[in-house]
Amino acid sequence: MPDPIDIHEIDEIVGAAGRRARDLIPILQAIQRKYHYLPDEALRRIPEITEIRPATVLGVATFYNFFRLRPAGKHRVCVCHGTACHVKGSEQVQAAIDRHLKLENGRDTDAAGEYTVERVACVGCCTLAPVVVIDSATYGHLAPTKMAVVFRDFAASASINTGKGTPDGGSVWLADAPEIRIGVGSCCIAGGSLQLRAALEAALRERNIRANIRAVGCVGMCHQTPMVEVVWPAGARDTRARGSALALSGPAPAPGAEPASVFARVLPEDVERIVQRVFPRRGLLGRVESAVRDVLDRMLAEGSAGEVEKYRLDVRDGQVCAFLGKQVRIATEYCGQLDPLDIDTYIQHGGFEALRKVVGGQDPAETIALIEAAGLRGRGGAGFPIARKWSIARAAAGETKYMVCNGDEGDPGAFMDRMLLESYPYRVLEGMAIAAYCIGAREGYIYVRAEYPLAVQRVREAIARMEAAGLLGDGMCGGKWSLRLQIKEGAGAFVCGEETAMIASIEGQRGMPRLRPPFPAERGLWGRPTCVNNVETLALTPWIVRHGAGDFARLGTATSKGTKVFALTGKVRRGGLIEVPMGISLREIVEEIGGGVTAGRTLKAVQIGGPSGGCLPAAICDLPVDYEALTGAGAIMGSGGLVVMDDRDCMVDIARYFLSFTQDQSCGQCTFCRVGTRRMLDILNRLCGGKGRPEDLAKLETLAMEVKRGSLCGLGQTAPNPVLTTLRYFREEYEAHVQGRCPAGKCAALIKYVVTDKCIGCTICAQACPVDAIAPLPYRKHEIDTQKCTRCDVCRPLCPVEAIEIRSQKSEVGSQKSE
Amino acid sequence: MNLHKLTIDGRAVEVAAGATILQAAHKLGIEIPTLCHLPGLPPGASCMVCVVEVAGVHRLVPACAYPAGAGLAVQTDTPAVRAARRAAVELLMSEHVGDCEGLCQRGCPAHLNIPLMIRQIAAGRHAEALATVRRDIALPSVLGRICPAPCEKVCRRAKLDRPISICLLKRFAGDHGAEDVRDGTASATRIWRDDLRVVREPARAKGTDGTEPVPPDDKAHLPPASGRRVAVVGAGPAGLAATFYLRRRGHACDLFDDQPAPGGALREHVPAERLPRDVLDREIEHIRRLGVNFHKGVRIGRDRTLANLRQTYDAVILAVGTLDAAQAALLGAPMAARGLQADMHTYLTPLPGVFAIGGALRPLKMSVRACADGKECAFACDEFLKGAAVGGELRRFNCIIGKLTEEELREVSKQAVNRARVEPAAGLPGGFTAEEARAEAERCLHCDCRKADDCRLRDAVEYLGAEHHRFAEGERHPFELQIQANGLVFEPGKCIKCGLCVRVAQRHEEVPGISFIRRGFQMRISPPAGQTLAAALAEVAGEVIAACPTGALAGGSGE
Repeated sequence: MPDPIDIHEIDEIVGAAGRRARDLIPILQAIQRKYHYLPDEALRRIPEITEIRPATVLGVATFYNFFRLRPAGKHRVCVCHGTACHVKGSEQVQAAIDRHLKLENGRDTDAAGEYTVERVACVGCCTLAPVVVIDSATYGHLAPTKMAVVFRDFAASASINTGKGTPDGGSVWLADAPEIRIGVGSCCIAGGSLQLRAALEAALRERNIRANIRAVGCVGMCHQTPMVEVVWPAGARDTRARGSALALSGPAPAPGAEPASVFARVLPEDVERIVQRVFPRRGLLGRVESAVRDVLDRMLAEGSAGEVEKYRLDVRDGQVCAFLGKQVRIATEYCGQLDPLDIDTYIQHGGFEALRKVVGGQDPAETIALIEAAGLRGRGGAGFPIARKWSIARAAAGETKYMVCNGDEGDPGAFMDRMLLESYPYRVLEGMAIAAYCIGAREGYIYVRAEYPLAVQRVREAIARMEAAGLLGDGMCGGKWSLRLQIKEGAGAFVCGEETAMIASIEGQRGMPRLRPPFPAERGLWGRPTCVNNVETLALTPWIVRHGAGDFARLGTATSKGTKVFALTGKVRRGGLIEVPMGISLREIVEEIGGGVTAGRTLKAVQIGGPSGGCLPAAICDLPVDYEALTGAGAIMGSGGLVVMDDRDCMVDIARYFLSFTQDQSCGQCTFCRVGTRRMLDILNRLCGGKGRPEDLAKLETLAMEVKRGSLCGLGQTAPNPVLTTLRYFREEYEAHVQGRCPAGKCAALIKYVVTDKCIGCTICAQACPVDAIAPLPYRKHEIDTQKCTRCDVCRPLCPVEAIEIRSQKSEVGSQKSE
Repeated sequence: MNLHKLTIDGRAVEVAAGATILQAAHKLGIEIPTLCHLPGLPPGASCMVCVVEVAGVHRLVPACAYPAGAGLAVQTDTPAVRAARRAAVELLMSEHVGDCEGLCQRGCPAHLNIPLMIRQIAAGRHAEALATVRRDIALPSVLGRICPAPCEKVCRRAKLDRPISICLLKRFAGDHGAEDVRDGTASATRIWRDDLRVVREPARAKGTDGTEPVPPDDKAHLPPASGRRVAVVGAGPAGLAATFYLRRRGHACDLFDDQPAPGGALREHVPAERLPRDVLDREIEHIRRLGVNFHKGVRIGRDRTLANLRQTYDAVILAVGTLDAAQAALLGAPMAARGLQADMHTYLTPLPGVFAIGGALRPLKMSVRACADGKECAFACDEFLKGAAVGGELRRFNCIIGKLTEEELREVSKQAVNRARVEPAAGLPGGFTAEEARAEAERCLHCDCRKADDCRLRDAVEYLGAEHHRFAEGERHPFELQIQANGLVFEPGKCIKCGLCVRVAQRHEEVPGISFIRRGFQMRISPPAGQTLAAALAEVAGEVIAACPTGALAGGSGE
């Protein structure tokens, strides 16, 4: 298992990371990367060779989820329990993995010491739900039956997955050659875009085709990953080029223009045929034509290829237009067209114009007035007016001030910040530099979740390139200002998204929030005035400076201006990353952009705002996206998680899901959050476990109000929202649970699996059942032993005649009622 | 200096910039309760018991940390504030794993502090042990022979092997209380309050056992005469006890009985083999020595009327034993279903200044109940004589762990010597020798809290009127007990995560210090990796113990 610890290695790590209090988290991260856990010897060594107090080391090491104090297996298996994964069965996936690796009695590492399994809050690949990440390989669209395949695949391809270089390797750019764009957002990479790129490069090389491959940021159509787009340079195949740009940037293609060549859900084996289609060889027309037909046939047919379901469609399909039609791109401007790290392309598209204008002599007060006129409010959740925040920080006394970019996107079911940082690092940094200049900060920190390695890597590289280009650092943009930016990686604590907790974390402490006031704008990082802004807020800023306040303020409602980025996930057909104008209704988002719920199911609720937000029922989904309207309905705008739920989702279970998240993430500082959320969870567990009592609902509601009113920070003050909204809109479902019924058929303790008369006796279910709850009876009707059955849901989807149904545990009469 | 003007509960106050609402309120003499704050330390904003309302803020804010900004309008006593404070304490109680008092003390009708008595016996402090018993039981040697010992039925040690011989130990204290054999060798068991005393403020220091010093029971040490006179009718255990405690409060007592000798049912119905008469006589004599006028052969209702007594005395206590309707009518006191009509807590009958206790009130099986009646009635009677509202003796709030698991029982037994129940060599009638008593006393598990009388959480439950079971949901934390080499005792289950200990230790550069580890509901305090709590705190342990608002960190060992 673990290698013996060489204390000199610890000394080296500390030597490289630093010896001050603020260096503790980087030190621990480095040790963990080396040993896969934090050895006791290392924890004892740190205070001996640093300024850090002994007590602090263990306190910090145990605060963050990223750190482990016990040795781990060779490979880390992260089972995502984000909201999207939860509604798509992550618990059953988790159980299947535990069975597959024979993990019992709370052990998390298999007997061979190969795999250590961890529950993680959200890996931000919600459109692939349910998701499991093994080391750096992401597996999506999983089901309990697929675990053997996953682990077999991982074992076989471990070398490929780990041996990959950066996705942004440089090569010679051919100005007159067509450009092939491949998405390299995390979702695309998880979908296999790196393998695809390798296959594409090989195919082009083989045929001697001159083409540029451009890695581009997230297109937002995460339900279609990986995507390949071919764009022709001006002059050559003119119409195609224009068509393409238009197709993905918003407006519909001009009449007559040939739409772009865009291929969705492409597998490496499709590359050959795509290349043949796009770059036909002379004299081989006949062969190519047949190949094209073949590709088109395959693309339009939704079929099953290999073990994991895949289907393809051409971008000409109406669905894509619907997905893009209602969107407005500001934070995600030039979506799908920019190589995330190509600074020249960014500049060609107007990048850094805003920064140069601001730093090049514009009075900060003028910029703040502009932001004020634009009506920009914080996109992190609470919607505080940005101009006011900047003004306070600017007016605060003191020479030293700090700018912090909040990229600690902790909401399970949300990945806006990840996508923005991965795809538009320059835009975020430009916005941050503008903000820093306005408040008078010469130092800044970008706090990014450790779960987003690609974002960390890209931002780090982008900072280096900006410094090299004179856009950061001393005399930046040719002016007199100086700004130094650096990255702080989080270590797995949702509460660090709260600005005072984030400040504590940057200082190297446990991420405990403190009471506001004083607000960080007056007293923040190391006691200095500090402005903390969300990633999306900063990404919007350069556009506002470039286009003026009017263009921004024209979008939206009276109090909510501009656009909002959402991660649209859950039971929706076209999930992805979208940017919409404020004021659009939730229904438009779900039905038009998202394509509604799966056929045969009905929209039940939209969860907006994650653990701090609420579940809004389908009946009120005409509500506009507006800070005040959403708050009025009991939810919050939040950072942009939007999880769609259908009639198979249990609202009590969802409330319990969020409470188990917030109570797990509570820092523990104040009584109401530490104990109050726990007691709320106890009641919800009882309801979902069939042990509810009539008085529970009133008790839950009272306690929820007490926690909301009495908690110290935003986490506790908003944690009851999912409970309060579900109680408000779905009370009858709670009452059913008190009576021992789960109308949605979700809560394991309240349901049973039964075989109906449709059974043809094929024995497939019996063979698949992991706990032998079904005896194989060839050609006879099967039966499920309810006592043995663990409700793992392995059998039901396998049945070829849909003879396995979920019923209420209560008497048949009860089950009829519940249907 | 920059001054901020604000109002608290409508009263204007001016404080320096940087002051908190709590400090501003203090300046006005407005009390805001808090568990996690101590002056001189940075605010914790943890317990949230100090929440207040600030105009314009849509939530409650902790007064200990919220800046007393200029122009604030603060309310410290609104229904919302009271409800939130109560809820905060109820939530803290829902995860509190500890018994305030020992199960035995709770099981004793007289509420005798049995664990303290046992520790005193184990340490050879027999006189103190006797004083402890006499605080609640007027007839230690008598009850040490005849009490059915309900305390032993609930003794937690019974779950391990057999209960502590509490009754025999009490008898030992009664019989040998005068023979104080304290010496260095007999102090192996913890005398908790002794250790606590070192960390108390001098003003609060009490007797060696931490409680109010009890004077020897003789006339010379009684408080000055109150000038009030009480007639106690009936010299059975209830009447004797009432007399004893009234005399100790300085009230003159006349004790009436129709028999020639006091003792009531004890003399009439208990066989001499069980209760040798010399023992009874000795304990009655002890009470009489305090100055009691005994009127033998006088039956009220026959020889003197109740009305007459009421005219002569400031109060009358009826302890006449079981009586029927005819006897009650003769006595002239109103009758209820099972005995004389009286409030079961204050013992006041509908007749002003007349109390009824013991068998006269309801059928009694245990003399200890009669003794308890006498003690409690004396308290209520004392209130009456002082002209105060008669509320009766208050029983303090008690946190109760409930059933322990096997593992938890082993954890509790860390505090006890592993030894079979000691049987007196001289047989039951002979009772324990000093050696046997010490050996038996060392078996005690000491379930009671080291800070039962010193716990700010217990106080808060009482003054906020918290329902401590309101959130008794789900699983509780396991009972854990960490006894450190330097006598520091840490009980994680009693920790309210206020962080005072962490903040106190932080002030001292020279110690490694302690920190919270983990997060949320799993959070707890811990020494650094590879160190003990004792080493992590070193010489600041006393300061930390004093700061800890509950029994989570306490001094505990005399070793």
